[in-house]
Amino acid sequence: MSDVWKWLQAQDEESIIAWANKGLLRRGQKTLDASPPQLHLEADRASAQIDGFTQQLNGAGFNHLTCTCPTPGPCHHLCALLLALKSAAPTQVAELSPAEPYWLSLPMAQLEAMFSAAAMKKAQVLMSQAVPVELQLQANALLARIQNLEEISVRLPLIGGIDDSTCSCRKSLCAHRALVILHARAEAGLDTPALAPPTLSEAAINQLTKLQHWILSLVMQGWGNTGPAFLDQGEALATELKQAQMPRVSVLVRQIVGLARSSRRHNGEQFQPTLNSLWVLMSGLQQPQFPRPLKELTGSHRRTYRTVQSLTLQCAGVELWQTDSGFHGFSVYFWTPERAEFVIWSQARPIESDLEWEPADALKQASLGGVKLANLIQAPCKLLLGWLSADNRLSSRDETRLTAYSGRSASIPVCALETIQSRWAKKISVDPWQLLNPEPERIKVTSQTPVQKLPGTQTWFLYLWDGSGCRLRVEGDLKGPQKQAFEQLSASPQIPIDEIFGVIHCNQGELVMRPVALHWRDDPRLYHLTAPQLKAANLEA
Amino acid sequence: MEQFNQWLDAGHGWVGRITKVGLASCGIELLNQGLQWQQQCVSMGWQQLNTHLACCLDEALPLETRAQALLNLAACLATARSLVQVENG
Repeated sequence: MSDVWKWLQAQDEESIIAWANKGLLRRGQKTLDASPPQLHLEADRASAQIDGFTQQLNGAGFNHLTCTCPTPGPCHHLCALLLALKSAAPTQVAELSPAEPYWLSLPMAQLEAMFSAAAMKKAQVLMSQAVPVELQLQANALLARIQNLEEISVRLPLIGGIDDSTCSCRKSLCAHRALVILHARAEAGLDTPALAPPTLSEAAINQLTKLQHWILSLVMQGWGNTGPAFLDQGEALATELKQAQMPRVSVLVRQIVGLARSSRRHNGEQFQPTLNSLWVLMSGLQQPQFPRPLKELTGSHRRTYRTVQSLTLQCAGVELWQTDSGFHGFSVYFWTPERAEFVIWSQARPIESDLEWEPADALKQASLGGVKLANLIQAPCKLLLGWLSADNRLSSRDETRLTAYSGRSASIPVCALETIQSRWAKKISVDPWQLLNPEPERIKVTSQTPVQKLPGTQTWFLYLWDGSGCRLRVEGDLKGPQKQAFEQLSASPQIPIDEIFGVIHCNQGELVMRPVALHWRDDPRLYHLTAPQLKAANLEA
Repeated sequence: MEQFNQWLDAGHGWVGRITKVGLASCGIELLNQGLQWQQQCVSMGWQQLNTHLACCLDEALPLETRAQALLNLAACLATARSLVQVENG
């Protein structure tokens, strides 16, 4: 079967709209319905006569289409021809699986020659800046979303040439297409051009110099003696740092300003570690060679999500939460046997800007992919189509599709504390200042201390041990939703914890768990510590 | 090891106090505590910390240079404490 027919079969309404537009496609369909044309089909070409004009397809690809009508480029006659040819194409073509796109297997030099030097260079710059690119492979095409200053959509057909691809920027053979191909090649483990080392913009370098002066001034005057004007200056600096593409630095400055503003209400326990983190981060960004990947040091404004399909989601715990930086929300933790890791689905709002939104109420109403939370936590579900970020966060996109799972529930594995500690120790020993994401874990408990308040702070804690004899500190706040966890834990001091699920992070070298859910001994039910109204089914099958 | 941990904690506490009151207005008592801790620093062979501390306590140097040394000292101390904590499990 010739490439022309394979290519035709791979086209759908979406690709024709991307090449022409919706209006031309509609007119083409109307023309076709009014008087179906006589088609002349050959092995590798086709032609027709519509409205007195002649249309021809002389090869695979939109650039092989011609029409004698006066309209330059796509016209409704050509749309009609494509629709007519699609229905007339030999049916056995549909059974053929699409070939590997040639742009994936071309030698790099040939691929570079297809684009202009400027487009290829821009694509490489975007790649070195780690601009998020989301790829979605479909039966006929590779779809991509590029999240730069604006969102750009690219469609690369698997059959046909790059000339047939479309981009929402509407330019031909643009840098976006080149970027998508480079990403696809990188994902397939194929060669890509060597990228220039990432650098900070001039604006970012200037902001870091301002930040250094501000920190030194803070240390000279003392954070207990700062005035409102100085702290306002810090707040403005945090905004500028965010605008200069350094959101992680901005967050730390905001935290320091917040702690200094409320200096009378706390003993400053959190101040020094935050200041240390900021100083080390800033110093790292001022080095000629960055000690960690630039994106890790600066942080990212937006997460990149990739499509995932056919994932089993088994609820491990639900939590309500509130942060010092002024956000509140809920998170649902799922175990995915296929990936052997936890994924998190959250909803959050700034506390001040949306006074009517309450996480506990939102939790009652919440649904993901059309399945209500109450059903999600009772039994496993199958995620048919969803979007997942690199740090395992599930997006709430409307296109998400979930269904009830007919198989057996999988057991959520328990991890030995010894294993967890040695894993973290390895990472911290390499670089104690690297950004380590908190990790959800489920632990089988053998003994524990009673829960108690930490004097002079708004914190409660307890210690627990597991079968490996290792100890773990479990800690929460005495304010916000974590206060509920304290109340639940102190209400049943005589009943031992059998299993606990929570999120582990590292606090100055010590592993600390923020508890989410637990099983009491001899009680199969799962208790969500910050959302006690939700009593879910057993963790086990 | 216990003595070493206490020494690290003492250094961390001193840095925390001086950062709160401010290097520009810290009294002689706080500076003397720093000098005491510096002597331990020398005897324990922590040359890098000693260099930062000496710079921080030198009243002849510009305040900005001393503040920078204090921040570097705090970062070194925090690194050491994290690694010790990890070592001890």
